[in-house]
Amino acid sequence: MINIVDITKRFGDNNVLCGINCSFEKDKVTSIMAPNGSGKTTLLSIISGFLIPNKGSINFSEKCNPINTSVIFSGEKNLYMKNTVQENILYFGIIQGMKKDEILKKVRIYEQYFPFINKVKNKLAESLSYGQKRLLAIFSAIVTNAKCIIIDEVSEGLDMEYVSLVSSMLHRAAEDRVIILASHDCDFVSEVSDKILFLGNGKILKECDKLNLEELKKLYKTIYNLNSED
Amino acid sequence: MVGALKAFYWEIKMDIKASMRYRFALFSDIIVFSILFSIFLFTDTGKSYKSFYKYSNYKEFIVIGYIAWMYAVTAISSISQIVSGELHMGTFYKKCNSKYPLQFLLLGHMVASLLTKTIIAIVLLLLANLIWGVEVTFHVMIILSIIISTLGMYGIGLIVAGLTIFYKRTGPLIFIIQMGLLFITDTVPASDRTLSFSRILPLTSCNLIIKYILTRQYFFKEFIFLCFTTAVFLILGTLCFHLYFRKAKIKGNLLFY
Repeated sequence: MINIVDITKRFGDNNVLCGINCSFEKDKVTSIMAPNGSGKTTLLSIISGFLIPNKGSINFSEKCNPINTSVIFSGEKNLYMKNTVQENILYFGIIQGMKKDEILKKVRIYEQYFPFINKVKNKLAESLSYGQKRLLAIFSAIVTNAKCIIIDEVSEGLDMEYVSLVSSMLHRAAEDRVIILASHDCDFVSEVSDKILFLGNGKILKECDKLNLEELKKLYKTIYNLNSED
Repeated sequence: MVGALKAFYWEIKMDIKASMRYRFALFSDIIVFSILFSIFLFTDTGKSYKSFYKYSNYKEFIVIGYIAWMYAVTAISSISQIVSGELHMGTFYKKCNSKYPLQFLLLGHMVASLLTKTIIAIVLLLLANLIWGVEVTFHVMIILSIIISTLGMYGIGLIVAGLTIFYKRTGPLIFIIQMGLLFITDTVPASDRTLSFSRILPLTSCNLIIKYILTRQYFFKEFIFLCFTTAVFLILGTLCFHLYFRKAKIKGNLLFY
């Protein structure tokens, strides 16, 4: 469990987050939705310890702390391009304190979602397509023992088939972990999320449980149209 | 402890494998270091050592000093290069959230870079012997001094890496440090005045120890001083790195790569 208490972050005169209060629970996939420039990445960076807020605190429950967090930012980065797929997966697990056998065991569990991982395990990460690199980055985060997994723009660059597989894999991976996603993709968010936070004007505008696609689109439109009218 | 050593080993393994896949980079390093090295030997750099130390094989000072300098500049530049490169790649965040200290993982990267540079050192030793006829004596205390000096220079590398995290572009600064070290640390002859202030650098002490050992002079006092400056730079480097890393976290610099 992660509790965010009154987090405020300013960059110069720009107040990006103004007193954010929310919580992220274990065994749940929580998505943060917001238009561009609303501070999603800033919030994720504060949770993962890469940014120190001006005010407020983050309370982590036992075992779940920044050291035990795996973060995937947007883009095709997050990997060692001149190393193989297998080397990347093993390395990220080993620096989290896992044993090689333990990592390989987890790889076998999650491989069913992405059978392509086994086929390309000896290929260099740089030779994969954009979507495959994103999948590998997500996969390598999930097979670690990280108690909190944070993924920015999770469905970016993924085709429909893989979006669905990522969704199933994240649900499976959420057992005993906190999973936090940031996305613009209503289809994906409605499919994967147990909880949705709407961020705007530096605050949490609304918090709700799982919604179907229609409800989500309607709510998103309502929340942000109302704000633009303000 | 076992897990930390495994992480350290994997840091080295990942880096060496990646370096071997960038064969051209290694090849170009060999060319660049060999050309500069050959210029020194061709121009008889270090001839003044012959009368100063009363040692006829003075080119041996240049050969060993040059290798010590190469390791020192690798220790300084490799850390800031990896920090900057990994911040661009997005993998630095994984290192930050590793179970093991960041500086420990960065040390693994430095060791990998030094091992790669050992290939270049072997090429330089062969070049010195086969082309320039320089005979090089191997002495365990010389090797130990180079290792300790390199660790001290890693401390300076941590300071530069901290600056790189905060200010981002430190390439020209690193270039000046690299070239400066070549001329002020007695790798090639430096004036007494220069040495009087560069003595605080572990590389200067290392170069003096190399000369004392080869000319069979008492070196123990200088060796103790080398250990002391190395410890000071390691502590200073760790503190500076922490300071700039924290400043970058406050200002948000880690996100703007």
